[in-house]
Order: sequence, then structure tokens, then C-alpha cells
Amino acid sequence: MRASTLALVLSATTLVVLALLLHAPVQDVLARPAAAGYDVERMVLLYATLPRLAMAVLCGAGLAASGAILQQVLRNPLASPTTLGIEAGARLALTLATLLAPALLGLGRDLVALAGSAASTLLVFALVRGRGSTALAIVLAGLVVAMYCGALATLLTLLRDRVLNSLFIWGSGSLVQQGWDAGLALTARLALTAVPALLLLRPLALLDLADDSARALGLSVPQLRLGAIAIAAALAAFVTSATGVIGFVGLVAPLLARACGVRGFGARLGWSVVFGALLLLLTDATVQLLAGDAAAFVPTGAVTAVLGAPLLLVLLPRLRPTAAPADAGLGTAAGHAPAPARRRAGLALAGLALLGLLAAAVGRTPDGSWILPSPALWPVLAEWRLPRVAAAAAAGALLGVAGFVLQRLTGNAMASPEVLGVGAGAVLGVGAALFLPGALAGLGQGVAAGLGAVGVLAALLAIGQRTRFAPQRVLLAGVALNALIDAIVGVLAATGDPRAMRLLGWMAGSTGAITAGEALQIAAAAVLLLPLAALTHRWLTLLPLGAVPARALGVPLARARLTLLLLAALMTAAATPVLGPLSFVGLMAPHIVLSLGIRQSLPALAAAALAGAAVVATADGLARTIADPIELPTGLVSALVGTPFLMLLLARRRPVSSLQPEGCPA
Amino acid sequence: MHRRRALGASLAMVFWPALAAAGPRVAALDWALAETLLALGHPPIAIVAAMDWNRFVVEPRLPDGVADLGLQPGINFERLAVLAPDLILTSAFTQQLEPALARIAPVERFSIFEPGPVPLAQPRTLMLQLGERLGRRVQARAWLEEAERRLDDWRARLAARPQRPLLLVNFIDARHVRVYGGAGLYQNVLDRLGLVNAWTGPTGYWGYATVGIERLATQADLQLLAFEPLPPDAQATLRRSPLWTQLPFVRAGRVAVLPSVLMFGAMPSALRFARLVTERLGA
Amino acid sequence: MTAQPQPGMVLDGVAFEVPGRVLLHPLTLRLPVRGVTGLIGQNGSGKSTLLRLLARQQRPSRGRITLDGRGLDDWRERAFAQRVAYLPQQTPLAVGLSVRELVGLGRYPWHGALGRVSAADQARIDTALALTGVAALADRLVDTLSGGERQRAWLAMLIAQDARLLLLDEPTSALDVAHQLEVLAMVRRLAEERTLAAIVVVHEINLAARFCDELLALKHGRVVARGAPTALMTADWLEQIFDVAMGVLPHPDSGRPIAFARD
Repeated sequence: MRASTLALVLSATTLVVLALLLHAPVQDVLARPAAAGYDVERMVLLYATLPRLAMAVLCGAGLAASGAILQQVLRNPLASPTTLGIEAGARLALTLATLLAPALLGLGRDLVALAGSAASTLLVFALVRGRGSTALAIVLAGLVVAMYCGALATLLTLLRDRVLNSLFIWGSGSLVQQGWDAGLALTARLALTAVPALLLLRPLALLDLADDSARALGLSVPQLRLGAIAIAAALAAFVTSATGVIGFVGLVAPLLARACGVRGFGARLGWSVVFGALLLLLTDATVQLLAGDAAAFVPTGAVTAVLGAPLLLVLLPRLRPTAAPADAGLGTAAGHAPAPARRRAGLALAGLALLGLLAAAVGRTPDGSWILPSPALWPVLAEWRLPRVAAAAAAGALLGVAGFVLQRLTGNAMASPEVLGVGAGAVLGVGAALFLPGALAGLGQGVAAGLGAVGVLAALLAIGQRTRFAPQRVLLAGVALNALIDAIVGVLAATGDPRAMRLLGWMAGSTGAITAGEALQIAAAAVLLLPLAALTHRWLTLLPLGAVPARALGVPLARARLTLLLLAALMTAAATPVLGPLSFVGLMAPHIVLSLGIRQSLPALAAAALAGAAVVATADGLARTIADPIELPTGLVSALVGTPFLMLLLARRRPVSSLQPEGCPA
Repeated sequence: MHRRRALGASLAMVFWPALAAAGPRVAALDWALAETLLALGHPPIAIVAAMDWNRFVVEPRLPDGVADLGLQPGINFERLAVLAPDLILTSAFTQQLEPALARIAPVERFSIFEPGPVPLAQPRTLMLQLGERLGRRVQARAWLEEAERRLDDWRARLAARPQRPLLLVNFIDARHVRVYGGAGLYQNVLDRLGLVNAWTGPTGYWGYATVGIERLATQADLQLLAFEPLPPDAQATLRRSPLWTQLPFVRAGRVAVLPSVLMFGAMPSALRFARLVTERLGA
Repeated sequence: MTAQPQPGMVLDGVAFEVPGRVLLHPLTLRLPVRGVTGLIGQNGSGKSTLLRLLARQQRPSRGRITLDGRGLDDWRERAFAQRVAYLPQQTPLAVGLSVRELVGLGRYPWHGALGRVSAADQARIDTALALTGVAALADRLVDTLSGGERQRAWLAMLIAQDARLLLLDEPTSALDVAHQLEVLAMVRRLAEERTLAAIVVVHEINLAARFCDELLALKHGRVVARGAPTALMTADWLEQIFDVAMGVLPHPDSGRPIAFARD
């Protein structure tokens, strides 16, 4: 479909929905003179409905522009304000302010959110400082910061849910307005940002070339990149501070433009803005129309994702791979790998394992003091602690290897089971078991989680079939599925239903109640699946070279990709019931291994398993003891423990020399 | 003010007798169960989220020495196993923990919330059941009789003067409220006191709906009661909002704030809510 | 198709199109089963496209390619890779691999995903390293090599692959003159010693003429000339192939014809 045709279709649909939504109240208001009292219809039309629609247009346009700039600058179709941690920073700032300094919120919720976005963006910049600000480095740093902020905010939300329930709504992106103030303020801010954005239009277009060529044309690529990201971050932060998280628009609108074959950055930005505004307006008008008098509260941001994700899935096969994808990503950590590096890597891994063991050993007494295991405690430890530690470590190993396999398979450093949406599928399964009465309710959570994971896997495979399992597409499909599932969970959480808290608790990954039998099951899964993964190590060496050399050497591409995808999905499905989908161990473990300079597939795979197990075991010990008497969820604490480590490694790592081209189209 | 304090003091004497230590050592995994136990004079040895109790349940006060088991999604099983209670009480909210809890001590589940035709029937039943279970039938009956007497008294006082329909809300942020109705605890208490709820829109199974503030203009002449805590930025933002400032009940100044009351509570919370509303309405 | 299986690559009406453009017009020919064949022609004449079709990296839009009498689609992946090796124009960076590891990948078609790496495999890897002169670099990481070193490392991988048909897309593009000569001489030697066939895209006409047994000239997606270098190294043919006025002189030392642009 051409971009103009799509815009026309979207506009027409939007007009119809708007007409349906507005004709009754407008007629009503026109027919009656301004009444003296509180004319509900009139007030709602003037101060709620109309400003809300205007807000939808503004937010859609702002987010789409932000996404388009980020995708251009980072050369990654997965880049979006969400990927860069802009929204997560805002959310964390609001969470912290609500808990620690409520007075700050009195100054203005939007200011707090803006400060959070600014802080997280600055942190991203600080992490990539001195590393040449390559696209890959920024994407990675953004992802890590987003992970960290998101995990911390979710943890705080879980702990203080009674105080923080408002943040669910904010997190789901409600466009509800009660006047024109917010809209006017946002207009001014967006307009202010538009000026430098337009000035950067032409230099940014040069980024369609590789970094080297762009530099040859007289462009300071790192500075341009940072400047453009600052602008994109500002756009997204302004929108986010006004309404909350409506992230999917920022991802899907630029992708729509791309899928329509729009060429040239200027045109792409323009169409992205049009699509973004139309999409959000259409969604919001539909939400208002359908929710209508039922007054049911439905956050538009969540609905956007519910509508946008399937759209993205449909578009995927039409989406051409980006000119110079920011994948490869398996950047070298060390130039040469002499023996001392190998010994250092071994020492680091041993240290990690030791840390995990120590963390598993310590405990707290009811009065809060720290203790090591004693014979008297043994029955309790054998019954309660041993299974959880074993299950956590096994799950960590599984996730670590799943992430390693996926990163090698896709050649994308951002790939991980979490990103692929398999974990989110498990969440959906558990959610269904909790919320849907009847057949599903009888199932255990483990079974429901497994069914959900398999469901997502099946969807991924169906999409993959049409694209010969081209890694980029599968990854994008995973992102779309994730967004869809996030949105559904967001809506559930926003209702404040206690079952939503239970679902959230499950997502956080609590290991406290794991039985010896369950621990044995997951250990068995690890014993079965990890060697299977090790058997694929030659594919894992060959596939990162790209499709062309792999095919030339006789790798059965479709079969290899399918096998690896299945393996990764099985490992994720086995681990998610223990750790939840938010641990990000699958992302961290391979990066830890990479930064230790372990390159060969087989040792790296083993190291990923060890690193994953050690990080999770450490996290489990901390989760159990650090906030005593509260037990924190191990999954979330894993994210909190692992990410600073990852940040440290990221900041230390040398610049990735250049990016690997994907080779010929598949 | 004076009378309010007097009322509170007399309630304290009648309802929270000295804590007794006899009987089984009970861990209660739901605040509604815990407050009922306290009312029966049989305090639990451990509850969940003890550190939040005084902020959200407020009364009955939690005695010292009740162990904290952490939070419901992932309670501290190791701690509970070390405490080794004789009995663990759960509700539908903690149902999923039961298989694990059963490895520590016998588990009994009690129903806290069930929509039904008779207001407050379920919390009353709960108190009787728990009284029966813990050998405190007499205390339970006495407590309930006194509670009914109080409720009758407040109902009569309220009926003595015309009362506006009430809107019960929690401000979630400056744009959204949670409005209560349907079959929840608050509605039960309103029914028992003969008060009218101004919110007639749909509410979920749990008795509330989350809506934008413009939806609050349901009737011209109503009284709004907002529960604490209020979000810090709500008031400033609301003052600038035409949608809010021009609401008839806002212009007439009929907006009042109520201290926090446990929404998923049992009889003690119901009674606390009834007392707070009666006081606030000046009866 | 004839009943008699034909050895080597045979193209029968093979064409390749992308929407709106024909990259290769229907082409019927049989490629030699030994010796070095040079693909020459202007940029965009279809050389790389043809090579990608032969390497099974892309499927023809029409027509049929057979190898030893079997359609390319009928070959199993590894069996095909044992028979045909392909070096793309742009080799990936091979991030994180040492030269020896990269060259070792060439043995994949023989041992597969699970098979044992035998001493014979190791010997072939050593030979390939030695042949291409990268043995000294064996433990270096490929992404730290210079362009020429990297190209030779990839060639070593191809040699380790031990296929009887080599498809090389501009194997000399990143090399200086000395290494260009060296690499092409090596390809030629291999072709002779191991009785292999090599199809090589070569940009520089004189290099092509010097090292190839046969030249295949493409222009706008059609084969315009085919023959021994001596036959094609005339001003008329070259002008027709490259659309530039060309001249040909005898080499002062060897007397072989040397082509040059006249403008």
C-alpha cells in the first residue's frame, strides 16, 4: 500500500469514528443555549472530549517523530522512545517521587516525569561516552537503562501497591483531559523541539549511509547522533510527561512508513508524524466511542498497542530489512584473546559462582540479624531454601543460554527471550487462568504459563514461516507480541483488580514457594536442554556470519533457525514460571560472557549458562535477605543486580569497530 | 471534635479487649482476617504487610510482636516455617499460596467478600465462623450485637435529617478517581446506614470503577467523600480545571475528605467506615 | 533435459528479474568443469547476479540450473557445499573469530553440525592456511586484520572447503597489486593441481586475461562474448564489452596482449 493511500484510509476511518462520537453531543450543545448550571454534555465536550482528541493528535505526532528520528539515528527498526529508556526513566522518577518526596509531585507531575526522562537519557549518554557513540552502543545502553528503571519501578510498585496504584494508569497512557492547559503546554514544548529537529533533517538523511561514508561527507556522526537523540528524547519525554506511556506509536508509525516503501528520511519523518497522529486519534476516538457511557476506564496507550501490534504483525512480511541494520552487535570485547584474558575470564566466572553460593548461604533471623546455615535450621533450609536456589540457578542457566542462542541466531545484540515475547506469552497464559472463568481457571499456573509460551512460539513460527525465519522479522514480531501482552497486562493492572496484583506478583518472579519437585523439574529441563543447545554450537558460530556465507557452507538455514528458535523458546518456557518474564537474564548473561572476551561458541555457551545461574543465585539470596522481612521477587532483583554490572561492562568496553552488514537479502 | 473522641474511646473499650494469648497460634494472610482476629481478642502471631497496617487499616491497632511475613505476592515462607504456627488462615486473595502453606501448618480458607442481598452478611458470618473456630463464639456474638446497636444508632441519627446522595471516591491522580458502588464493603455500609449512593454507573465485581472526574457530574445535589491519601498534585491541578471547579458539588463546597478505610476489610473496617461517615455528615 | 547426466553446471534458459528490471536475460550455457573462467563486464552487467544464482544464494526467476545433471534445488545443503564453494563480494567481518577458526568453518560441509573434526580436517585447514600465506596470522582475530589479509583468510576458508567448483566474486577487490597477482596465481594453481573449476569475477581485464583459461563477458544482463583470452583481447571486442574505446598492445616482456583505455 502506498503511504498516501494508507493515510487516506486511516483518515476516512477516523472521520467516521469522530462523526459517530461527536455528532450527538455537538448537536445537543448547539441546540441548547449555554445553560446556567453544570451542563454535563457541554462541559464534557468542551473540556474533556475535544481537548482529549487534540491531545491524541499531539501525542501521536510527537511520539512518531521521536521514533522516526531514533530509528534513523540508530539504524535499528526496533528503536523507539521505549527502547531508549525515556519512558522508564519518567516512570521511575514518578514512582520515587510518590514514595519519597510527594511534595515534588505538587510542583507538577510532568516536571518530575521530565526530570526522570532527562536523567535516564543522560545516563545513556554517559554510558556511551568515549565509545564513539555508535548506534549499537546507544541502543544497548538505552535498553539497559530502560531495564534498570523498569525493574526498579515495578519492584517499588509491587512493594507499595497501595500507594502507587495511580502509576498503573499513568503507565498505561491515559489521554483523559480536563481542560486545555495540558494540551497548550505540550503544543508549546513540541513546537520548541520541532525547530532543531527540522534543522537536523538534512544531516540525518546522510545517515542512510554507513558511518564512514557519512563522515567522509563532512558529518560529525557521534555529535549528530547525540544531538538527534537528545531531540527525540525531548519529544518523547514531553509527551510522556503529559499523558504517560503510549510507547507503541513511536515504534509502529515509523515502521508503517517504512513498510509503505517511503524513501528518504524527510519523507519518512513526515509520514511517520501523519501516521502517528492518525493512529492515536483513531484509537482514542474508538476508545471513547466504545467505552462511552459505560464509563469503563480504558487507557488509550494500552489500546494503541492492542491495535498496533497485530497491524505490525500483518505488515512484517512487507517490511524490507533496513539498509544498514544495527545488528551484528556481537562486537568484540577484546581485540586479541591471549591466555591472560582467558585466565581473567575464568577468574571472573569463578568469582560470580562463588558470589552465588555465598548469597544462597546467608539468611536472616526474625529479629533481622544475619546468619549462616546451622544444623538446627537444616530442616527448614532443605524444605524451603534448597529448592528455590536450585530452581533459580537452573532457570538462570536456561535463560542465559536461550539469550546466547537468540543473539547468535539473530545477530542482534538486543535479542533475548524477554525481547522475543516468549516470556510475555507465559504471562498471558497465567493472566487467562486468573481472569477467565471456566476451563482455564482449573489449570495450574505452570501449565497456563507453558500454554501461553507455546502459543507465542506458534505465532512466531507462523510469522517466521513466511519470512524464512529471517531473524530481524522474528525479532520484530516478538517485539509486537510483547507490546500487545504488555498492553493487556497494563489494562488489567489499571483496573486495580486484586487479581492483577497477583499477576504482577507472578511476573516479578517469586521463588519462595518452590517445592523440591518443581525444582527437580526445572533442573531436569536444564539437564536436557542445555546439552541439546551445546550440540548446535557450530550453527551458532556460522550464523552470525550472515545468511550468505552460512548458506554457502551448507547450513540448512530454515531448519537451523527453526531448531534454534524452538530450543530458545523451550528454555524460556521452562524458566519463566520460576523467574517471570522480567529478569532480563537472557539479555545480560551473553553480554557478560562477551565482555569477558569468551568468543568461541561452545565455551561461550557454557559461560552463559554459568553466568546466568550465578547472577540469578546471587539475586535470589539478595531478594531473600536484603529487605527482610519482605521477600523481594527474585526475577526483578536479577534485573536489578545484573544491570549495573552490565552498565559497568558497557561503559568500559572499547568501541565496537564497525557494524557488520547483513549481506544479501534472504 | 469532642464527641468524636469520646465515641472513639468508648468503642475502644468495648471492642478491643486486652489481648489474650490462649488458643492456637494463628498466622493470618489477609488483613480482613487479621482485623477480625483482633476484634475477637485472639491476635495472630504473624500477618502480611504489617508495616503498612497503621497507614491503611489504622484500627484496630496492631499489637507489638506480630511478625511480618512480607507481602502477599511472595511471602517469606522461610520465616513462617521458623515461626511454626498451629493454623494458617487464608482468603481468596491468597488462595494460590495454599499448597505451599500446607507444608508448614494446616490451612483454612475463609470467604471475605461475597455479593449478596443482605448488607454486611458476609463479614458478619466471617466473624461468627472465626469465633466458632477459635473457641470465641461468645466474644463474636457480643461484638456483633454491639456493632449492630451502634449501626442502628448511627442510622437513626442520619435519618433525623435529610442526607444528600454520596459519592465515595479515591483520587488516583488529578484526572482519575476510583468511585465505589455496586457490591463492595462501602456500599454495604451505606445500605446499612440508609444512605444513598450517587454513583449508579456500573462497577466491577469488586465494587468500584475507575473513571475520569468529568463522569462525577451524575446529579446536581450530592456530597463527595474522598478517601485519604490524596495524591499531592491533585488539588493544585483540580483548582485549574473547569471540569472540576464547575461541578455543582464543588462550587457548593460539598467535598470532604475521609481517613483511609480498608476496602477489602471485614466487620471492624465496616464499623470504622460507618463511624467516619456518620461523623463526617455531622450526625 | 537430456537423459545423459551432464557433469558441471548447466544453465537452461536461466533468467533473473526484480520487479521492474531484468538483471539477467534468459541464458543457456554450460560451464567448464575445470580451469579458470573469468566473468568480465561493466558494473551492473549481471556478473554477481549470475554468480549468486550458481551459488544457490538466489533462485532464478525462470529457467533451470543443474549441477551434475541434478537441479540445484534437489541438492541437500551440505552435499552442495561439498561440491560448490562461494565467496561473496563483501565478506562479513566475522567478529570474534580467529583466522584458524574461520578457515575451520570451511570444513562444515564435511563434518556437519555434529560430526567429529578429524585429523584429516585439521590437515586440510593447515594446508589452506599455508597455501594462502596466512598461517602466521592463524591466531589473530579476523576483524583485526587488514582488508587484504582478511580476503586471503576467507580464500583459505574456501580452499579448506575442498569443493570442486569455486565461485569467487571479486576475490582481489581489497588487495594491492602484489597480492592480486598472488591470489589469482593461487586460484590458477589450485585449478590445475586439483583439477577444479573456478568461476571468478575479475574487474581488471588484464588480470583476467592473464590468469583465466576462458572469459565470459556480460553486458546488460546478456552474455555478449565467450572465448579464450587471446580471442577476446581485441580492441573491437573490448570496446563492445566495456563501451569505452580500447587499445591492445603486446606486453614488452611476455608479448601477451595488454588492454588499455584510449581516452
